[in-house]
Amino acid sequence: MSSPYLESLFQNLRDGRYEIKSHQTVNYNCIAWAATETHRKWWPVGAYWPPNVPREETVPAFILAFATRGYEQCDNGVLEDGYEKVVIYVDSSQTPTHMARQLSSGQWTSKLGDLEDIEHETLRQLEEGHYGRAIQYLKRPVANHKRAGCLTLIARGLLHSIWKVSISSIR
Amino acid sequence: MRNLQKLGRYSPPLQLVSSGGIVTAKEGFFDHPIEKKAEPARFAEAVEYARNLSSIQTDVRSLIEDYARQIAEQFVAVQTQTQTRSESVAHKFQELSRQWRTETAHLSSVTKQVMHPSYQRIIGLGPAVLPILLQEVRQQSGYWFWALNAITGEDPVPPEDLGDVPKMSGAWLNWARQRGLI
Repeated sequence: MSSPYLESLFQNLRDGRYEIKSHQTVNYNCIAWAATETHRKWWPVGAYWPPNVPREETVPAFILAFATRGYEQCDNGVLEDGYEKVVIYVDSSQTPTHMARQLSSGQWTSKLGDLEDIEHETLRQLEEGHYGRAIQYLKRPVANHKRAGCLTLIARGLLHSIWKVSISSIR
Repeated sequence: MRNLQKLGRYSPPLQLVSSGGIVTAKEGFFDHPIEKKAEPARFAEAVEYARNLSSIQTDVRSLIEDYARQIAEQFVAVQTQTQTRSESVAHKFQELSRQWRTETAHLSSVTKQVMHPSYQRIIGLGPAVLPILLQEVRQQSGYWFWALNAITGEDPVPPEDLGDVPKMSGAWLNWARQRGLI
């Protein structure tokens, strides 16, 4: 499904395939979406930002923010087996404007501000105009991520058991 | 007023007293015993006094009515002015928020959104726009928390809830409820 409105905002959008994948919402933004969160906005100013990361609108601060989620810098956005990637867009003053996340298909997913999420074929489709250029790639191992997820689940399960035991002993 | 002045010529029935710019008539007729005056003159004077007293009552009533009318007119004028201002603020907000949405809805940068000239002009509408902003917060229509903070100087959102729109909305609506604003 194409959108003349989105195409008017991002003039390269029609240079490749894209698809709207959600309704509009103010509940999360592109940075949160890149970090796979949908319950809050991420931004260094006036929104959630990972603890102990400088609240600065700079590429290094964004890299550190995503380091808290296991990402490290890499050279390109080519699909790599075993890794998931995100990319930071910056404007002409090198201020971050947008982030996109790579899907296992090699396509990218972007939340467009308070508008919809879209899947797009290339990063260039959102370049120029409002978002500037995609310049900084980050990646993290998918396996580690899954393992970390499993560990989190195990830890949660343990905590839950401890809590239940505590409650029953109090009673 | 003419009647009041005319009455002033008759001594002693009424004395004109001026207080705070309002002329009133003070009764003094019975301070002077009837016996001291010749009967016919006294009778004519009493008749004239009664006639003038009636005129004075009319004048005083008229003055009070005028005064009450002025107060009522001022009250209505203030109310109309307040209502007009409120409608004007609501109209201005609609116009500015529409422009703001059009020009920033695709941006993820909270900074760019809240620094947009239309958003700044909404903040410039001051406390008069608070009821509208709180209504928008209730509908979770946009990131109005920055404007609320700028206008009120308050920040009821706990740091751990920053960015979470439903929780931030809840914090601001509680704040408004505690102050009787909603």
